[in-house]
Amino acid sequence: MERRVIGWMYLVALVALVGAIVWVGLTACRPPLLGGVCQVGQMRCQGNVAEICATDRTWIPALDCRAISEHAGRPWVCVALPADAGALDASPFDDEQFTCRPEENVS
Amino acid sequence: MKAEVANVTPNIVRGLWRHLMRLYKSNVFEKRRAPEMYLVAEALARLGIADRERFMREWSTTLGRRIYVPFTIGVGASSDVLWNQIVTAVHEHQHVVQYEADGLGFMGSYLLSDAARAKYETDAYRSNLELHWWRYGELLGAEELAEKLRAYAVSEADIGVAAKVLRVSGDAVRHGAVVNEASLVAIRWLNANAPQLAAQGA
Repeated sequence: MERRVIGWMYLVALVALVGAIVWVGLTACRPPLLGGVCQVGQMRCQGNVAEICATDRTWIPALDCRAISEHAGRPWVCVALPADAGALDASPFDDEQFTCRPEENVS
Repeated sequence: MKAEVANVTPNIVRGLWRHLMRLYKSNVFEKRRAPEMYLVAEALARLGIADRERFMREWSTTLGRRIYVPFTIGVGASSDVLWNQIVTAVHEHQHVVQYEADGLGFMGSYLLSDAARAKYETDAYRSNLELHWWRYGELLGAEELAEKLRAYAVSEADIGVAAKVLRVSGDAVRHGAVVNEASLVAIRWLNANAPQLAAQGA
């Protein structure tokens, strides 16, 4: 009888251990399942790079303000596309867009 | 507006190609004389990426540092045709820049992933946008430019992402940015050797 209890306890512990390993594996090696996957076309500023969410749901550089700064010999910064950009084509997406602008022009 | 700009000459076209080739250690070949291009055309057609005939007749192709063009450099019936050869030089050398940055991964992902192919082509088409701004002081339409990606067998969503990238790139360009390395090199050379081709104030 005592042996059977120990056997059950051993089995429960084993299942818990396997479950914990699977859980850690699922959450540690990729972004969290909820809220971590980007929406295609979404943009953000990340480390002075305007990034966009590509169709494979990974963030890729859209505009590298660091490279522009290097080319221009003066600082450019990543900013939300201001209202004065209205003359450009309409965006296929409705959400916020980000661009690079010379630092001295950004208030 | 285009009528007011100076004409492109064969010597300017050849000079810029030579400059880029020397700098990036690239080689240029006429596509129709390169047997390997017929094999690539067949492979791309089988992968559903490109039409065989159009690939040979209209497209320029870059494999590593080897650039295959469907024309003879510096030979063109008009100034606009010659200008297109300049834009092609910069676009294709931006692919060489991508190859330098990503190595063989560039070629593999270009062939196997729609999203990667769209990313690399969008980046290269930004050079077209930058060169057009330098010459004409006008922005190419982001949507119109992104539509060109349709020929590369990418999805509608990829074209939407490309349009958005080119739209924000256009915003930066009209504020004075030169984003792509190949564009920067070309514009510096053009400013030094053919400043008459630039739009006033570019």
